[in-house]
Amino acid sequence: MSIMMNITDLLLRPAAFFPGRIEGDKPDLKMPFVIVLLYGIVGALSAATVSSVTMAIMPAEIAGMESMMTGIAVVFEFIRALIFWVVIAAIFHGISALRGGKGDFQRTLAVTGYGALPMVFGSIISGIIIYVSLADMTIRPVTDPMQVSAAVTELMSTPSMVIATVISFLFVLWSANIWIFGMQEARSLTGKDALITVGVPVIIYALITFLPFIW
Amino acid sequence: MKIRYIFYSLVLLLAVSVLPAMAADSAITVEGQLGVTDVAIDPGVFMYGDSGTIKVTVTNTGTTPVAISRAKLYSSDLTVVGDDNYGSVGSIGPGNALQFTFTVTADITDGIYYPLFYLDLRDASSLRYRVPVKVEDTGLSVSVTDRPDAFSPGKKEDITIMVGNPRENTINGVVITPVMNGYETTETSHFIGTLAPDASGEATFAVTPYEEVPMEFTVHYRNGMNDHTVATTVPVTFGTDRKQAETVLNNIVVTPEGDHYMVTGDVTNAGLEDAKSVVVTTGAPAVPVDPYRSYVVGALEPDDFASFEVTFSAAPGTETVQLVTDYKDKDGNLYSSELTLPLESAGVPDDSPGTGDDLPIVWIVLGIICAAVIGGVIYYSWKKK
Repeated sequence: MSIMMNITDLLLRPAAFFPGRIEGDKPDLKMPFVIVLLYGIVGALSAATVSSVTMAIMPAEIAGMESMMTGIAVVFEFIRALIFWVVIAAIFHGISALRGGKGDFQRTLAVTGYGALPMVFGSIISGIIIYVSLADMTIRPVTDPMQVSAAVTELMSTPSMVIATVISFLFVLWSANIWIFGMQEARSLTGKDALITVGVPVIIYALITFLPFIW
Repeated sequence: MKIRYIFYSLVLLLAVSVLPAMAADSAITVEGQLGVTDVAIDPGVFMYGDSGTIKVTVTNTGTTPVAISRAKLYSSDLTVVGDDNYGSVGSIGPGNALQFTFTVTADITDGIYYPLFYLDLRDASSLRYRVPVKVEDTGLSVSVTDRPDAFSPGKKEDITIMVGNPRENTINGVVITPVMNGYETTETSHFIGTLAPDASGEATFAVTPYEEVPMEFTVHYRNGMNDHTVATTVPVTFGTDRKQAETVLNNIVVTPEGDHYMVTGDVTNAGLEDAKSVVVTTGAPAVPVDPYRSYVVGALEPDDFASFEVTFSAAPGTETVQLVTDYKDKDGNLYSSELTLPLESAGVPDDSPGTGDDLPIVWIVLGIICAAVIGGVIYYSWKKK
């Protein structure tokens, strides 16, 4: 019951969640690590699904390595979640330092880990959308290996894929909202500085994500 | 004087009545020694226009030689040839026999004729004997006892021809010869030989027709020393053999595999004859590729089936490809059938890598709900700050 209450606070009332949980220079990272781990598992499952479908596009010599390619995608997605955790934390920590933030990096790491929880939900929903959409599609193999990249890009530009990306980004915004409150607590920032600390990387991420669709 | 005339008249009357009687007694005595003991006619029954021989054997059963002046065969119906050979015969010793052979030609309609054998003896007597000769123009009966339901151009088939002898005499030298008019056979002729009365003989020819013209077969035979010919024809109409093998493809699944497709399915022989060397492959516009450019199924008995798998590639935008099934019959004739495969079922309708993704209303609604929920959560979190 306590855990459920904590999760509810984290998602709906982050301003009330962080005080008391990020005490000292070395806060407990077990729960943030579990959340990031969960995010990695969901991402790996989604990657395995997408990989199994997109392998149908590959030329024969690559299609024969389907299981190996899927394995690589799963491991990469899992590691990517852990790296993402550390990198985002480092970015937040760096920007907040420029804005006069004070506090140990581990505090920033804890905030970033907690804040990744909405992204787990986003990853689940977007994964379902991608799986259902690809299952309804008919896939044609590409005869020219040079066209694989273009074919995959075209496959990922379908309306369903765009909506999945948008929904995923909405949950990133939810996470960003948690990160703002968390960074205020972890790095003793004002609301404005915390907004800049989190907002700038999120805007850059949004540009990287959506510009390919626009262009 | 009157009495003397009466006496001369009586003597003359006696001479007229007694001398012939004495002469008659002498003829009976000579003829009684001779007899026709054998008649041989070859052929036994003549056909119209046939030439043959009549051999008459005369035997002297007496104890004294009999002098013969000449021997003749008289006939107003048959043409007798060479009866002048017996113009001066000589004599037949006691217990001996003489054979007289005459050549006749039957230029006459069917019937039984009786030429007269006449033996002129030197003592003014003679021997006469009627020889029955049959003339019947009925020839051999030729019939086709076995043939295929339909011919196919270039396909070897068996034709069986039966020759029967409805005549009263034996026929010799029966030979069936195919006439090469629009077909070929491996046999140049078939020798049956002698056919006894009411007997028959069969011959089977492996024929390969190339044109829709009747096949002609000629039967040569001899009646005695006379050659005769009778012919028969077999009509040739090209069509589909109702018994021939027929391959049917079903349970077909087309699966994209990398840059090519794999087709799996079953091939069944729905015909009544064996299908040999069954091979399944793909035709244009498909291009057969490894590992299964073509799949050799082998022999299929009637109602038997086997699985196959072939691989091919097709250019983008290809809508249909041909699945080709080849097989041979027992004579090596090649047959081919094609089945059109739509590639839509394999998921290759156009150039785009994926299709079927129309505007996803459900996902749009879900996105709006997510946006509303997240917006509400963010608003709530700031309001509760």
